[in-house]
Amino acid sequence: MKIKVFVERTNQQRDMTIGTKTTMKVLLEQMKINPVEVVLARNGEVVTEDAAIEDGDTISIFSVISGG
Amino acid sequence: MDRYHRQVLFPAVGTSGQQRIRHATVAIVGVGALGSVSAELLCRAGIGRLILIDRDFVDETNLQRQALFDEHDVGTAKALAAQQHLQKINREVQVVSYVEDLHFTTIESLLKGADVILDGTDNLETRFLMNDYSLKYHRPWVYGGAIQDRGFVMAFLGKGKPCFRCVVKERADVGTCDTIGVLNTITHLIASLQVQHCIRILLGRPMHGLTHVNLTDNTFDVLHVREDKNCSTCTGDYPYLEGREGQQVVRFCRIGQFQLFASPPLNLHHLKQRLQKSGPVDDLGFCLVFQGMKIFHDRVLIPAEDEKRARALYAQYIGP
Repeated sequence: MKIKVFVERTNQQRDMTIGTKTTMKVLLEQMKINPVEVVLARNGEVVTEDAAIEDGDTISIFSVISGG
Repeated sequence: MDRYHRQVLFPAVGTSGQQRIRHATVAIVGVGALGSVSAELLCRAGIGRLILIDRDFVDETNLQRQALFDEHDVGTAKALAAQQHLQKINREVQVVSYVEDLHFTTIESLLKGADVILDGTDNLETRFLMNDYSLKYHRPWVYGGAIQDRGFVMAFLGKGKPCFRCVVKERADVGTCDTIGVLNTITHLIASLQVQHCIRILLGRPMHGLTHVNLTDNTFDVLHVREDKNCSTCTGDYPYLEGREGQQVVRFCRIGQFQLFASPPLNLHHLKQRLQKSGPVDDLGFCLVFQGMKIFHDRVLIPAEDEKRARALYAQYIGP
């Protein structure tokens, strides 16, 4: 499956090829990103790390923000 | 001419909307970069009553972005300094201030009567606490977070709607404004959006979605958020409100300052007499100031390079 992944921390978007039945959790493990430190979105909708990824999805990985 | 003429002229507010604003109470938790801007905007908009809650004191590094404060406020409790400035801006607004820490034993009394709660905090722990309170007592709150040149905003409207824990699952060790910096443009922007959410809630037309602002590439994304069917808070578990989570004895406030909770509460009268044997004590009424430490009945702010040193100073001067 081909997906687009935007990582807000590095402000970079890249095209990735992943296996079928990949979840957000697996993607984060592959990218070595701690799931508690990020907010995940798939095609503009916030999802949990259990969410499945489908071909053509655009995934956004935002850092949790606690400052104020 | 009425001082609110320009916003009453806007049909989405109008006379009836202004009346709603006039009769509303908003609590602002944390009167720092976000909270001070929110407070000023709501004050100028003619909110009926503002409750300001902040545990901290103005320092020089705050002046870059905390627009309500000036150089004369350095060393003054933020909630009190803000109250003084706000009353000069608009005497019609009733402003009450609390130099206190919002935690599970104080939240119900401090937020009593608030129609909407605005988040001006700098940590996830207090946000989880406000989220628990919001769901249990059906009170909307507006999350705002800013770091560097990025920020998030979302209104959480209570039971039956997505909550903060549907978005952020647990406390994480993420960067703070103290450690990785923040621009005053993003804090003003996020606070302005929070106030817009707040006004819309008061007008009965809340806005939905999680807004993410990124000024590096000048983008605003509004993400759709659904209730997480596995969210424990949505199903009635309130660990922060019930004190089962989040009660750290020592809390990092900013670089060079720690907060230690005092349990049982301190008798400031007796403590003052004891400390005066070691040096001058300034009694501000609501706290004692001794060798840079700010001592409240339930907590102590201690300037120290690390937690170990903070604990040592506490043990040396306050008690075991």
